[in-house]
Amino acid sequence: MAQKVTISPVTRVEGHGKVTIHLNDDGEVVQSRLHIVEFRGFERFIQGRPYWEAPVLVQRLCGICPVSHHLAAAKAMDVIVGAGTGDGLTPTAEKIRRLMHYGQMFQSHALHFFHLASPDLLFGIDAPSEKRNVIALAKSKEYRELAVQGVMMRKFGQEIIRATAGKKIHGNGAIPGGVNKSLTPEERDRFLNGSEPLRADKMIAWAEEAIDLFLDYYGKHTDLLDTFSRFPSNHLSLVGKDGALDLYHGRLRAIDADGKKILNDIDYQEYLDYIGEEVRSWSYMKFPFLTELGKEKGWYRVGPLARLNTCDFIPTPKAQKAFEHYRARTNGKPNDRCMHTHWARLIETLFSAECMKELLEDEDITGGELMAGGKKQPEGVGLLEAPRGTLFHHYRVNANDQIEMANLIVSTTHNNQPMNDAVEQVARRQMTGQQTITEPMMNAVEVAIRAYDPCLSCATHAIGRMPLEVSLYDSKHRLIERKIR
Amino acid sequence: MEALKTTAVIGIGNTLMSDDGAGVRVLEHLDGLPEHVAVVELATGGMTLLHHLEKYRKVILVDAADFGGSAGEVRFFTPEEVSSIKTVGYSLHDLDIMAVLRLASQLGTHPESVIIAAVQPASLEMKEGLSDPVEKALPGLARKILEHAV
Repeated sequence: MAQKVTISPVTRVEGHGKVTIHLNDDGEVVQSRLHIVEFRGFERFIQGRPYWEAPVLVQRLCGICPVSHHLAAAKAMDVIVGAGTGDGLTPTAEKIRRLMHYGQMFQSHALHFFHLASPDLLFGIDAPSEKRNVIALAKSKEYRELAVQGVMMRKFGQEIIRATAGKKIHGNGAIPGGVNKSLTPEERDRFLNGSEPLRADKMIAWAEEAIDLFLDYYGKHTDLLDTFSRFPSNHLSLVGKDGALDLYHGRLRAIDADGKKILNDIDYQEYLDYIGEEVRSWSYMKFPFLTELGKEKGWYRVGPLARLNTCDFIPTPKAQKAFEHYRARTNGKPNDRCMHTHWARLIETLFSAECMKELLEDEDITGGELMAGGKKQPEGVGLLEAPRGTLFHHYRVNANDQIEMANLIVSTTHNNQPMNDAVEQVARRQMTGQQTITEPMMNAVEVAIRAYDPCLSCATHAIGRMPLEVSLYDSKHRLIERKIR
Repeated sequence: MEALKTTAVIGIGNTLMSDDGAGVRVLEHLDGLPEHVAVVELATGGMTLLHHLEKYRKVILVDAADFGGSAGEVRFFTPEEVSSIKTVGYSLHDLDIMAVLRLASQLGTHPESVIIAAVQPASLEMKEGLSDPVEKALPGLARKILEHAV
């Protein structure tokens, strides 16, 4: 076949990744919006299914973080089978799940840094987009090793997932009330003392190096990283015992822009008493808010930045040291600098690596007691901190063990308002006085959205990808220009 | 046993989104595969493709793709024959399979041979089950995949 084949992006749902900017008569930005279509259909799809199928089915929601959905659903089902939340499982089940989760966090964070963030940092955010990507990284003599490192870090995380979840994709390791396997001593030893570089110590060392790489860039571009897309907000996440960073289990904490607690470590089974979801006419995606503060003021951020704001400390030594340095930059106050999300993500990467090593060295990880149970409950909520932020799974089950209600709030939904504000801020900064969409403006929008790594097409992949579309309107709502990248 | 597998048929797509799942559903039709051929359900695994590519000499990627054909139409082509669209995204949820192949090339883990088996979707709505034209195309698609895999 000599002729070239052109493949169009397969448009699953209309309106993906669309930015609209409205100008006034003076060419100033009066309103900007990021339009994301949420994948709500899944909640109807799962109705009528037996509850034990949920942890496997929900993984198809997302190709990037299937493990997060798998574990959040399993945690909700733990409640339904009467095994309680978090501490109700056997030590082996609890620790195998944690290992699976930290493997997932590690591989996802590593992928984000090396695939999306590091090309921006190493080539500069103003570099042409075709030169600012991981392929260019792999091509360059200088950074090739870094690209390989990123791929190996991801591979290590994937191998941990395979060992704990059973399969790299659509695992079934976590089941209501426990897990269906633990590690064999051979599997454990391979991760601790296996062939280089796929061993836990190396992952810790590489995560530390990635932080150094970020700090090197930060030293040279302090102003950019401190001021780009910066705005105050509330922050929400789970926190573990004594306020420790814990990505698998804990209580819900929310703080305001000054660090004052709004939600003081509440039991997330009661989340409906504290969190509402607003529907706005122009968006398919809901806008969650803290009910105590109301719709206007109650929106919040989730994800790495929020988590390092809400927690009091990190319970592993190397990550704690990095955290102290990070916290000192803002004098211990909540960090509202969008680009510091990358820094926070790398500290969590190091934390995840340290957690994996700690868990692998724990003898419970090879234990045989896998299941717990109790009195069946009609309803359960499962929460955890997914790579991009807090993930809520809430189910109600009928007498025939069928799911009759499901409510999922994913991190992209929590971050809806902050992402809109981020886009509006860069649009104002880049657009004012101009009646055209410039390349720097497209770059800035892309970089701002990228810090949140939204799930624009959860459950889709694609040969050919979703474009970023920016449309500019005048004061009469007439389209001036549309650019697609 | 895994080590003896030199060729892989990799099914890509989401079975919850009707024809998007064609690449995965066709794997059920692959009867009588030779010993050296592995079947991999990548589904929505995106970047995980990179870790599969390094294991095989020959890879056949099966996916729903809009190449402007009629519903259920099947085409086989190589990555070189695709004029792809863009290289930078702003979300990891938006991975381009073609970009994963290029990255594998740069890292030296690209298989000697990659063939893309594409089927033109008719429907991508959120439901299980394929549209009629795509469902009917699967046995023929499977036969052609077998021919390429041998």
